Amino acid sequence: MMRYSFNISDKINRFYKNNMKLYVKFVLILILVSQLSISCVKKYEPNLADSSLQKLVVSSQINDQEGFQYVNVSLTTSLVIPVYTPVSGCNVQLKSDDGSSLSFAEFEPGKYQLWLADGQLDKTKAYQLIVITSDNQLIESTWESFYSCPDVDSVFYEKVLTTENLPYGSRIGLQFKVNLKGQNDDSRYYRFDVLETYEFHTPLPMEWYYDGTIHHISPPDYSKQVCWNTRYIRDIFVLATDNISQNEYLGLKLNFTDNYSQRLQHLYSLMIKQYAISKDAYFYWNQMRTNMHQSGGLYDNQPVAIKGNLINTTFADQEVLGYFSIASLKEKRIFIQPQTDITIIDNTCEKRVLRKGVIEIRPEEYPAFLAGDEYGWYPVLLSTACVDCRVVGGSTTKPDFWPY
Amino acid sequence: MNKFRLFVVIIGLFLLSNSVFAQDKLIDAHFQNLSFKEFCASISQTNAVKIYYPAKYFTDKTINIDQDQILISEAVKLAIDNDSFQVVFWNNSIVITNGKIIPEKLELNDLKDIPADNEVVEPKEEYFKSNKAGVQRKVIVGTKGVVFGKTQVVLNVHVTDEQNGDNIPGATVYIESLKKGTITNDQGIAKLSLLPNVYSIRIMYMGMKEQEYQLHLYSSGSFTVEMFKQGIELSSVDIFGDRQMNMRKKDPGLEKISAKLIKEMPVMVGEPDIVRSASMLPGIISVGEGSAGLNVRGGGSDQNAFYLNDIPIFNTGHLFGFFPAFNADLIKDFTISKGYIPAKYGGKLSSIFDIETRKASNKKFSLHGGISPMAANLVLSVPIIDEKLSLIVSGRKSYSDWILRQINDYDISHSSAQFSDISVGLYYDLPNTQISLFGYHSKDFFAYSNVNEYQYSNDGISLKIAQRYSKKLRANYSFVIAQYWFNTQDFEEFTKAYEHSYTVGQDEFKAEYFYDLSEHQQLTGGYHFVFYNLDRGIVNPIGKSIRVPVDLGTEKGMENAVFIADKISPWPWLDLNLGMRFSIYNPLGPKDVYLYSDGKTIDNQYIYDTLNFADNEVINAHYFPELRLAANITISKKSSLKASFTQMHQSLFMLNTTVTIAPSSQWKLADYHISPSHGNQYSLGFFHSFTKYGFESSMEAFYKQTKDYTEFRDGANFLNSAKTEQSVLQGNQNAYGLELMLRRSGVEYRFTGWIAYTYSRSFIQIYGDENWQDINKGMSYPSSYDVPHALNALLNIRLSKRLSFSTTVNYQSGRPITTPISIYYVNGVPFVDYSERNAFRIPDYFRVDASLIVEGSLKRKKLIHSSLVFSLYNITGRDNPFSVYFVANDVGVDSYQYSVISVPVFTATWIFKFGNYDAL
Repeated sequence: MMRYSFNISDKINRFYKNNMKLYVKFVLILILVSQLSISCVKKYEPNLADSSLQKLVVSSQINDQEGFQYVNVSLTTSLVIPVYTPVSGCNVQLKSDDGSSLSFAEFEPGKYQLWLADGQLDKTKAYQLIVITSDNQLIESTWESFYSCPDVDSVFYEKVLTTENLPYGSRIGLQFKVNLKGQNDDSRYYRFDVLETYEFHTPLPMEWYYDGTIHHISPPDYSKQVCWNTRYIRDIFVLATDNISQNEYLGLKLNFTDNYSQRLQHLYSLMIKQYAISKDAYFYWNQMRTNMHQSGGLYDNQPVAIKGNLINTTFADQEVLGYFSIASLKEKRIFIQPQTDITIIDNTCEKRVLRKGVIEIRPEEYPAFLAGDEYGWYPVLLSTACVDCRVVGGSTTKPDFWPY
Repeated sequence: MNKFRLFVVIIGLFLLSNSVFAQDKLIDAHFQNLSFKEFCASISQTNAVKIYYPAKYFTDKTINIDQDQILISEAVKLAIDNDSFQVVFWNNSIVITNGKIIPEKLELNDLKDIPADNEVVEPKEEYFKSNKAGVQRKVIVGTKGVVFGKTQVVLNVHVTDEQNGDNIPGATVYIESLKKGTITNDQGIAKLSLLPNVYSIRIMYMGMKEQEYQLHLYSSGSFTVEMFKQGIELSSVDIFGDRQMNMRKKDPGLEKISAKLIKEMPVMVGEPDIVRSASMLPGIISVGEGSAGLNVRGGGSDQNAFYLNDIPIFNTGHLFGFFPAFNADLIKDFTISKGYIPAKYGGKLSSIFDIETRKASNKKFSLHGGISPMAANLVLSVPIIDEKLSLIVSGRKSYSDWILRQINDYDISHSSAQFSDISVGLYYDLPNTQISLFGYHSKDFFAYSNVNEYQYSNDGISLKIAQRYSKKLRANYSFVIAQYWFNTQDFEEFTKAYEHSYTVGQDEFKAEYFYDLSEHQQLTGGYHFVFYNLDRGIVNPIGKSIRVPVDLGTEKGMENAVFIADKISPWPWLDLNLGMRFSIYNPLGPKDVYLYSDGKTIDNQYIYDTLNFADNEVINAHYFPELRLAANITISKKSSLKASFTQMHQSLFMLNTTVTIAPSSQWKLADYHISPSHGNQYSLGFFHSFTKYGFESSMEAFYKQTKDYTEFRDGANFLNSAKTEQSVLQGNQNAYGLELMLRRSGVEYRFTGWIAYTYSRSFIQIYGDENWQDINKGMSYPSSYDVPHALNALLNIRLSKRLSFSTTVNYQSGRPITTPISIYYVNGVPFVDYSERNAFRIPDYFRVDASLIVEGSLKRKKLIHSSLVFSLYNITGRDNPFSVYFVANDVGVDSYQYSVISVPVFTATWIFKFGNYDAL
């Protein structure tokens, strides 16, 4: 032991005499990049030859409410310039597993409808959709059944300031959410449709216009100043509670409505349609949602070609897109009062000063509305949206459910 | 100062095992406009002759010779073109003197003065100084008093590295007078049968100073030679002497990179990176910026094994691949087997990356460290018992968060990225036993604002014992315990926020025996045991999340393998490796295995029974008899033909729905439902050296078939259920390709580097009797790492001793993706229809990097050394897409591409070192 320690101290002495090797390396790194952020997202033009093979698309969601049920039959369309391509002349039937069937009637190209009375469909039966195209291709869906649906629980919103990088800076708005409170025998899978209805106003009535000569409408036409617009929110909201102990969910995110329109300036309404769907239908819609919300990034899942539940029995290799489902439906409508603390930014009405007078107005702009008052017009050209609310997609007919 | 200092030593490139040392012989001399120095270098290189000459007389000389079949000495005389100089062939060297005569033979020392056995007599200082070129130290082997006879005795020369005591394989030991030489085996030992006599013996190894001794051999015995690094060598260990560094001699499909080369490649933030360097080789492709993964010969990134001193490393990058996980200062040697895989390895389909660290020096204490604004590192090497026990410790830690905090972006300034790693090696050397204990730990922490958080660590310990039982039999034993841990916290959606940790344990025991049957045949055999232990973890809700915890369960499996290999050279022109490995893989309990009705979708609703397996109960067995064959046929001195056949299997694989090794990736063992993947690889290669200009070329073709390859089903999410069998399908993966490479290396060249081109394809086909068993309707589709064309070029230019420039070019075809092909409407809302799986490709990848290294003064004894490294990453500023994605807008679809590094990144690194270059 003693000998050992002696050896070591002897060694240490030797290190310092001869063999001590020591260095410290300092590294200073200077990184220069031409811009702060070195990663980048930019537009990408995929080199896709437009798919010459057009696929049939059949979509339908039959529900248990009284009213028309719809089936749409169309073809896929170009990615770059998409055009809705309906398929007419199909024989469309809803077949029950007891052998009976109901026929749909085409009311618009590619759109087929069938009136179902309340309780007309037996919820204990399974149903299948059959489409026979005009060139006798037979399309069949899988058999679908009803699942029970609880009432729509509370729908609410949270005021959110988004910090997204938008071209016009940040935006403020309302994030709508829905709760689900189901029983154990209710479905574990849901899909929500959201229909928004909003009132919007043009800043001015129709008073002066130019179509080669100047016209004065007196008294001014206020009839096109208030419109209501109703549309589907283009998003997919689905919910599965199969991995949650209770059949409940709090705060499923629905749509976000921001301050870059008049939606929150006047009365705003949402109609929430809650469908109880099958697991397969959930799987389908959830894949659709995932593909719709691709955001790139390093670790995103790959998109997948989504298979629906319809097959072409005539040409087995021809894929049919879309999904046929049967769902119990519960609805709820809510109204949102004007949000006075939110600054509305609305640029639909554009004004242009006419420096050289009306000769600047080109004939294709006729009738060109001009600013003015009861005494005369000003050399300011107004876009039609300044005086006619219908051009931005509204209707002057007040919806029945509008409270005032 | 000393007139002999005029002698400039020109070092030739000695080809290794088969180097024939030239005496004066006939050559074809064609030299145009060469300086005398270049002329000598050329002669030295092609004929393995050193030329010593007084440099001052030949500085302005231009050499033009155009003659066939003249003697070397004649060519030299022609070049000198001056009768006052003598050209003497001496000691296998050409010496040019102005009038001095060099004796042909050295005087014999008086044998009576010879001291005891095996003693090296240091020459007298004056002699050493005065005769540098021909310095000869005396070494005596054998017992005094034995008269010179006619019986041959055996001399063992053990060649080691003075710095760390490592054995040096591939060093040349040469007896001048007999023109007889050999190279050291992988134990660093060269064996020669000689008559007792006095010899001049030389030991050579590239990158090391040549050693020359006057050997007094009396009877059988051995002596040890310590090799010193060459003076101007900077911070590197070269392994040129390795057979595997020579394209013509190496095993098929094997690549070896020296630590020096790794350090010379341009890098983004001044950190040399072996994983990135490997992707410069043919057949190896980097997954992309932001990932540490590699795809080897059309295989997935989980099909490669990384061993650091036998410890399996599951994540080879810090900060998701932006920094290497290993301290480059610690790496000694790096071997990649991608074609022929020796029988001792198993368990991965594509490749084995074997990284060996530098041993601690058992003689000298050394400490060096580095400090940068981002991280600091330290390497400490301590001999504890002289020549016996030594310790090396290396550590690295980052502290770069302060940089992030300076960035004026809320999300970035509230993010954090940290890493650290530590390695400890303890080495104990006995005459017949070498024991090493090595431990490795690395840890990463990455938090992005308050959106998500990732942490991972690699840990491992290996104990290796190398034992020599006899002159012919030796063995290596290794015991390894390794664990990989990964933790994710995701807060993006508060109701679905979760936390998930998993661990992958891999413990190994390996016993490997080597038996030298003859000089031309070596038998290897052994046993390999691997125990896999996975805790796939629980996906737990955090915060206000109302997620149900999902227990992904634990998995265990073991693999027992025996292997035997025969390395034989029946004729000088043929080297054969005949190997066989037999493995049994068993998944083990505890496990509940669900049974599904035949012919139905593998889904919860079709479960009809559950089998319960107790702890460590064998669930089932998979047998893999595997052949490992390689042949190397020497066609001529310059060319060879190689063929190999390798069978491999893989029981541990990654569940991955993305291209990269992503946080969402999970490791999974083959189980009751999922079989291990297994495959065959065939390869054929042709190799040729153009010795005149220092070029080597290779061409290698491969074909790989894999069965039971595991692929995710459409829309799979591996975090939702422990029943992985419901989310995957198994099928075939086929890959084939052609790899071309042209390389020039050698210290004597100003321009070195390589160009590598790979054509390779990789396809997956998954089909079954039922529709749901198909992916892509059962048709073959390119895998997401199918990259047909890859071109990598590296050019190093030594502008001067202190200035070097290096540039790389990387090109690869875009990876396959699934893209939108058309739009369709549902309820008036447009939706996108996607192509078949992987039917399209992202744009090609192209990048050029360059770096310039300016060294300070090269004086060895200087206290402070500094160097500047300027590097420019992605010179062309091309925004190479990492991925392409699509977002529906009001009209149609907008396509975007995401690039990780889209601008040129310039870094200037100033390295200054306090201390001595010897410390490296």
